[in-house]
Amino acid sequence: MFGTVSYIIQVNRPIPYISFAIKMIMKKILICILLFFALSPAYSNISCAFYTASDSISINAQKTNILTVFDTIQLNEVVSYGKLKKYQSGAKIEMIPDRKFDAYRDGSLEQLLSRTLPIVLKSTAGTLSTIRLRGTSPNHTSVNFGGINLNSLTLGQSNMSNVPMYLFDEVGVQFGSASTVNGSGSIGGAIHLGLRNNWTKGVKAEARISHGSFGEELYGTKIYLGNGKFESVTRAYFYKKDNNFKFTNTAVHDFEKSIFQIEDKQRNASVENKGLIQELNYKFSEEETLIFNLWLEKDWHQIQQNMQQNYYKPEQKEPYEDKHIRLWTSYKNNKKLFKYELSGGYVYDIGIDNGNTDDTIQTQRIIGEASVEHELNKKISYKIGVKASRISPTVYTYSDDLEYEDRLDFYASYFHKINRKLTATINLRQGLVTDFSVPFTPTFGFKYLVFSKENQALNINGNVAKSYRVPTFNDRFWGDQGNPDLNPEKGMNYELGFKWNYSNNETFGHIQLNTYFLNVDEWILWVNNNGWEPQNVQKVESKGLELMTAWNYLFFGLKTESGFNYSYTSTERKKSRTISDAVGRQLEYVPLHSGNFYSTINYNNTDFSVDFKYTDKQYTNEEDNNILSSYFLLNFSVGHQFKLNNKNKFKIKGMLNNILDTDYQSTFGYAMPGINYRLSLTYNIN
Amino acid sequence: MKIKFLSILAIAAFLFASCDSDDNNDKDHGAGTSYVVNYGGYSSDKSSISVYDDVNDLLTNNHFETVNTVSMISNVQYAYNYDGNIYMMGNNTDQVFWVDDQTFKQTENGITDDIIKPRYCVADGDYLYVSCWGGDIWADITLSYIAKINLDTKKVEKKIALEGGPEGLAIVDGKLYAALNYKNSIAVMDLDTEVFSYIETQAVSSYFIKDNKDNLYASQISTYSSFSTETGLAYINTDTDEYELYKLDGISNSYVNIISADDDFSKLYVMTSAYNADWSISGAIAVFDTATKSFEAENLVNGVSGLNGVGFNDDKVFSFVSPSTTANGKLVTYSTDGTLIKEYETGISPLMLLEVK
Repeated sequence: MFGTVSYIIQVNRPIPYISFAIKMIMKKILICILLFFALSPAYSNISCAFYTASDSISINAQKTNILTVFDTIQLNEVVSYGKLKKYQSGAKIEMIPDRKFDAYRDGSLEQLLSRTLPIVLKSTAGTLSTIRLRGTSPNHTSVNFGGINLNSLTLGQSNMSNVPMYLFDEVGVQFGSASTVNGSGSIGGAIHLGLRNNWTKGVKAEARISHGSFGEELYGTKIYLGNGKFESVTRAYFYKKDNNFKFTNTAVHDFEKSIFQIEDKQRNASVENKGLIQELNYKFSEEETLIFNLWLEKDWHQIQQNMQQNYYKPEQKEPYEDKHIRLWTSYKNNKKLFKYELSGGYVYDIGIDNGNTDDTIQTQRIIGEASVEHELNKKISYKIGVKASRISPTVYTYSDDLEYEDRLDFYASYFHKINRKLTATINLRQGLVTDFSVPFTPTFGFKYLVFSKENQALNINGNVAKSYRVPTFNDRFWGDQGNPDLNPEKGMNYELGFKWNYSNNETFGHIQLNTYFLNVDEWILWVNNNGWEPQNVQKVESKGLELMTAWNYLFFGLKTESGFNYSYTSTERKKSRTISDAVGRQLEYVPLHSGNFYSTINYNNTDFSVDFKYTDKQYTNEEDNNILSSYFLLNFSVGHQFKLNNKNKFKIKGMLNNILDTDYQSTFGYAMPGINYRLSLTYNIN
Repeated sequence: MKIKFLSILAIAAFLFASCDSDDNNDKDHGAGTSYVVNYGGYSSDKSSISVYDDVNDLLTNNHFETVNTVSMISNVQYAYNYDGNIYMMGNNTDQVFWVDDQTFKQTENGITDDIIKPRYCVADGDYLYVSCWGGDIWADITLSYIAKINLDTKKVEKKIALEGGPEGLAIVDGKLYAALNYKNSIAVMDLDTEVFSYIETQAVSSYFIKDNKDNLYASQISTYSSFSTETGLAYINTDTDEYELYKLDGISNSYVNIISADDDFSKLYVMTSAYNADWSISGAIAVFDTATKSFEAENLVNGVSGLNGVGFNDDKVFSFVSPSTTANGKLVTYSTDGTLIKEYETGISPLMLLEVK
């Protein structure tokens, strides 16, 4: 598919060159499409359904159902948010299975990602968590809700501790560059938060209550109303945590008593989040739908103090509050040869630090998007689209002259099932931003079915993707330090993956191995140059290997599901414009090795699960000191589902986390909780 | 075959090599020493101390850890030598703590009560006066105060409210001068009555340096919240409290040691900025002649990216360089004609030189 072009236009500026620019871009895209057509092997006569096509090629005709399950993204009644895989055949996109997703519904995105995928996050104890996908920085991963990138426009990143899993139905993660689909910022990857359209007939409801250690509480409800055509889904939650856990404080220096370590309790790190998503969906027909999603979120937490401050300044409280309004609506019409989708959104973000409402940090966005998809035949389709947004920042340190910034993205995608075994895709995107030059970002991907036998199949996928990130508003406009002349960060991602699926009567599963090489140039850091300012400072290269495997089998006659994820992430700073002894060394907060294992056994509607996570040592600065030790966390859970009758279900689940009471840090100098529990009850009607 | 080939390709795609080299710099140091205060990073690495041995021309890092076996738990904003101790203004954790100025050993716990964001200090008799911001001064300029510490009891005896974000301090003839960083004035407190008067200024101030006649030079700076074009050095006659400005564009507004005097106080070395040949701004050291009361036409050095403090010792100009808060910085020494003499690796974010006499 073809990428996107973004464009930003300052409103009160005449822009006679826009139409010319658009013409040129469209011309470029058309030439690329034509070139690809011309260079493709002759269109094969073999007809196959195009999405997940190579995945769903039958290993064994009788086992088609199983295979389509274990090797796909569920495209049935898909999330409003996109056929992620169809036009990115070579990309690694993982959807977290329902059973695992359900286990972490009471928590945040941070807990879900770190325990189910080979992903590392830098966290404090539930107050702040940032992702390091494939060794990139937090602002190199976009978090998407519909067509909205949740990342703060001022800071460029999302706090994964503030993304509540209770509100969503599924989460997908794209590993590796995804700028051609998601736009600026998706250098390391992208996360998609999904809602499923259920087209409820009648009423369905759910209530959930969860209590855990250190004052953790979650209350949630979901109410589904509908007649099969119209549907209203209301999801709401309230979450709080006192976070008053005990830990060994090694930052105490009592020189008079020669005491340098004590048992301490974390103070002033409580969390209180609440949110609501209201969906209003209408299905005119199977091919024509309208969705409307409104997400209101208010997150409050006390910024966790480091160990020494926690001990010496027990009264210190630094509250931080985020409020968000996110609205996304989309009309989809697939009735005709040219399928089209029209979407729009509005986002309001405000952050209040330490109760200071005078120093406003607020942004608003209005977004519009239109795309058209055309299937030339069963093997070939393409999609073109345009996305426009206007961003209005109100930040106390920005110039009053900065009223808004416009962005326009043109994108095009092309899908070609070349033959029974080979699928190829191309994505192109050109972004245009007011007074800022954005690189053209193409992506090429392929998927090849190496063999398909009676009970096994092997696929290979590959991807070459260019990516970029527009510097944040703070980078460009903060006081007199912002630098509007920064270059965009630019990335290149090369990916090669293998996936072997196996199935017999009792066992099915897969082993997936992905290797990648990713570089990010013009990486922006704030540096001291007679005052702090952002500069394009360094070039970073990340190469690695990700092994993921999951198996369903019978263990002494019991249904069992086990999985193992391992990630080798070699990320090095290759060049730096500042003095650094760490050029050629592993980057900070990126463990070279990390992995997790999980296993769930089911017996009479009771699940017993165990999982562990290993994180290698991590550098925390450019020197060889203050290195975080490696750690190993072991967790256990048990859950049982009671079916009261055909309409009423009741589920109880207990989790025991960090059973070994491991003393560890994820962020240097910040305490993390030891052994803790969580108990949840869920009641479902219909 | 195909699979094998592709597998080999995949493996070949990763030729990663990582080698770490441990660099242990622990070395002995001799007598005749001065200390370099390395601020560290605010949210992670805390301060460290480097010791400069001018006899053997060595700089040794991690001196506090070496002596005390534990690392510091604060970011030291300023260090001050008085009456056998070196007092340090620690932030995050906020405390005033001290070590013996000969051994660098800490034997007593620091003062944390009534100390919030300490910036600078100066002593008079049995009292240490500490400028404190008291909280988010940028949001509320009334939070700040002077903490009056009784050096016998090692307690804050009094918090003297002083709005405007006091930074640098100086005491002359029973008067405490406080450079206000959020108000266009310099506060003057009578030490007996503890009553303030103010000297109006054309820009906000950050630090003082006292000449050998006990008059003061105060940096006049432009900041985001208090923009001014009237920047440079202010001369304050402490007999009359009259104010005179010697303009210097681009004078640094960093919270580091931005002014240093040579031994006979004929020259002041002032951290500033200047355009490079490629018209990008970076750090420079300007020279102020105290006899002519004017800045020399040429800076001592230009184009120092990451300049983070100046000092003077042993007839050499010391400059501290720190482009980031996650990597070690540098001490670079220059002769008084601007010739580079030597570079030394320091801890993270070196910001000042402290001579112990």
